[in-house]
Amino acid sequence: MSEKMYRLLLRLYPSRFRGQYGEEAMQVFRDRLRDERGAWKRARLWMDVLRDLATSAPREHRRAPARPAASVSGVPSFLVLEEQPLRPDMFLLGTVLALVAVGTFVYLMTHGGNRVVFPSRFTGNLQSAMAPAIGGNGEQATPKDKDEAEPVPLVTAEERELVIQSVTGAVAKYDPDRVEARSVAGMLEEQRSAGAYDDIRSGPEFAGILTRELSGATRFVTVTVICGYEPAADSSMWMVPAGPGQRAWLRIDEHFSVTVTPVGQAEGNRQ
Amino acid sequence: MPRRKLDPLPSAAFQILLALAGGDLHGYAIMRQVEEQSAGRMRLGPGTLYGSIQTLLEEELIREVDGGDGSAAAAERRRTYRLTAAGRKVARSEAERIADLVRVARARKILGGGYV
Repeated sequence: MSEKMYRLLLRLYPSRFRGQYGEEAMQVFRDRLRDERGAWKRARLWMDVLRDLATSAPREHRRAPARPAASVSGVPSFLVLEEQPLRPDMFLLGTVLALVAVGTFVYLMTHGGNRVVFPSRFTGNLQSAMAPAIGGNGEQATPKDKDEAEPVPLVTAEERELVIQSVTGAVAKYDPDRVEARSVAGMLEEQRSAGAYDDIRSGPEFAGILTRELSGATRFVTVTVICGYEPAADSSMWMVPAGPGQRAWLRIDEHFSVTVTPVGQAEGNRQ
Repeated sequence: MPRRKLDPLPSAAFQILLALAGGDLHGYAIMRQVEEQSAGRMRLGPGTLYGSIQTLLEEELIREVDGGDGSAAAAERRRTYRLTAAGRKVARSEAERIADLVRVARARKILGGGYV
């Protein structure tokens, strides 16, 4: 294990140095491993190795001559970067880039981990939002003149079911009244089973109907189903709130989202 | 005398020259000898050791010798190094320079008489 680690560390030296003295250096390291046993001596050995690496590797890179690869007639000549000495400015640049990459990763891990995106299971089956370009079964809701109005998203039976399930889940999560939440879920499911939404093809119309039905069904929260192309203005709402009593905006799929706002709070995203 | 890279002579290079003044040695033996002659104060790591050896070879202060003498180093196919005449001269110059410094330090009462 120690030998493997040291062999990896040796790769920090220029290739020419490794070619000339790599095996000798490995042999010296093996000799020290053999002769210096015990925790303290091993710790001292690794301290020596790291200190040696920190001082000698940059020196060897500075000393390594920069040589272009041999030029062959008709073949482009390239610099072999491995043979190049490590330039201080490039080392600094590499360090800065590494820090930026690590910082970005840490930021994303700490700030982006609690965003909820409902699975978009029907992306392939969903009627295209660009109905005029497709034509076909969106006759009632599709504007014919695409220069005058934006195309209206169409909704399929599968997407209606997904929206209802997602809305039910959002109410169950953020409505403090559990009985009320169960009642809402039952009401929506009953309506869907009875075919009350079967004839609705327009996404905004479906969203509007759901919103109206929910406005009379919930006392502690205001539920708004949104269908449209523009994301909600308040991007902070994308963050899932800690629990009941806070505003939430949950994305359902590429067309639908739902906001749940406790009664009494400002609603910035009602449609 | 070619001393471009080794002027002034680095401490590690000087220690290696001193170690080889006692006879031909391979890398690990040089490292151990340096540790011993410096009373444990200097332990050359492989990078410093072979970097210094490479410079000393380029400046012809040491040379590689054929390991075909039946020694353990030869059996293990280790490279063995020998001090050249130029290397001995450089080591002597460096030792004299340090001796001069020691004399000055002693005259200024920085060192006691029995220190060196």
